[in-house]
Amino acid sequence: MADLLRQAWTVARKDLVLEFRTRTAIVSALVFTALVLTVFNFGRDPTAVPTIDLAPTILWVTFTFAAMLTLNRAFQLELENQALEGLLVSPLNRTSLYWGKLIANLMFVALVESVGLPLFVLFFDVPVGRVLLPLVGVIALATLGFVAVGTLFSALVMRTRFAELLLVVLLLPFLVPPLIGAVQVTALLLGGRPLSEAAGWLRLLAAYDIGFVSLASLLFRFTVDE
Amino acid sequence: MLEVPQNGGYMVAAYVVTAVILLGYALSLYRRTTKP
Amino acid sequence: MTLAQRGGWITGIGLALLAAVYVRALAFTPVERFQGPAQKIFYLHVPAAWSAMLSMGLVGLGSILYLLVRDARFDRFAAASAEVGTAFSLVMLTTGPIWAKPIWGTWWTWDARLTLTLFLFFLFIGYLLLRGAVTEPGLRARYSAVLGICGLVLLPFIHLSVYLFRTLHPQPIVLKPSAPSLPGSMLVTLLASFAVFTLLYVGFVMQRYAVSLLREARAGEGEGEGEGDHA
Repeated sequence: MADLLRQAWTVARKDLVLEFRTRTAIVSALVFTALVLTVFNFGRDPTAVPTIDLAPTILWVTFTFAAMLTLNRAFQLELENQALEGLLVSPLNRTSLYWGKLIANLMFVALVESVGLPLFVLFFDVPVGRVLLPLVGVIALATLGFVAVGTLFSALVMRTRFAELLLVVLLLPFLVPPLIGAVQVTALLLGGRPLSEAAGWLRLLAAYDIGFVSLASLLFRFTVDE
Repeated sequence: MLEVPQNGGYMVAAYVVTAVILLGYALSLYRRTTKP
Repeated sequence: MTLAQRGGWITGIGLALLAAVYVRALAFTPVERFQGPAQKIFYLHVPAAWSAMLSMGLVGLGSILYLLVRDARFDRFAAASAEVGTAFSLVMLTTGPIWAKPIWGTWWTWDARLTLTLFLFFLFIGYLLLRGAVTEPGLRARYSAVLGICGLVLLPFIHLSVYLFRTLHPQPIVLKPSAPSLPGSMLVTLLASFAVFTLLYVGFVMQRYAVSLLREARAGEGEGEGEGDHA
């Protein structure tokens, strides 16, 4: 187990180092996030619908799109110079490879979200102060869910012609449970409702995470092995 | 007495659409299995 | 008889029986008091939904079996079931709103069933798109199997999340969509329709499986190799 984690961390670290050298995916995702939030701001009429009602949706649409951008790079970079073959020939455990990619992806998306959230608070003047911790918690829960599935699927679409588009199409149904849960809990939190009301949703999110991280870990080897 | 709603048009539409889809698919399968 | 011919016969019989169900439903089944004739869409929509769910379940099962034993037949079966499932979920997706409009007053509502309908359709489409995008047969079989299993596991989560959503945001329902207990005549029509749709599923899958075999045979002729490949 410790061995698996160590291997996973090695893979993750490689990805993180590579990304921070070029910073292309991170920068595009950050710029994109800022752009989307700006567009949303100009697209709505504050006198017609109170911001607080739209806020959760805006936040999560932004996060989802940004996550998509970072997910694409997960395996694309392995296509160059047959890096993937190199990884597979090494005694690296397949599950570790998946967890490594998952950890790296989570960190990228977390980085984008940690910039996106303050921007969101700034642009939309939403009171998150008192609920910051639970809010971060639900963001983490939901993000884990769709990044887990997204990481697996990015391995599936790696060699196809319209990889980015296909990834979105395949992932769409899988975004539904975590997104519904996330938006609902976010709305509850921003509306000052007690956390106990969100219990059902949080259980759903947790069950989804456990279910799909396990399933993806199990199935990943079939995407890279004979 | 409450009158029965006059929505037969929808019924016809649904039955026609279903028939078109199923017959269309059957035809597609037939053509794909009988090409020389 | 070849598989294609047997499948063709079963489909043919299924379609003939479907016509019989049509006659029975339209002319010989009583009109429902409160919903009117539109209620009869129920006799098509519900069995189509059943067939679509069955298709998805069998795609999932075929996928699991393929990954376990790597027998090409399971992959062909999963692919066939997916395409057939797409056709049935299209029926489900079109009859649903046509039924909803007169009964609920709106073409679409994000209730648990309709939303599940929509995403089931997307899952099938995604599966078929993935198969179309991966050309190498072995790779395609493995990748599709992974997607198929994920799709199957997803369904209960979608149902649960939409159900939770609905219980918090109840929509005013003008009329209840189906009575809890069906009078005998209506029940017979419904059961007959279920049987016909299941028969159609079988016939369609046999034919679609035969299409795969034909494609492989053609590909084999073209190259003169590809022993272990399958379409």
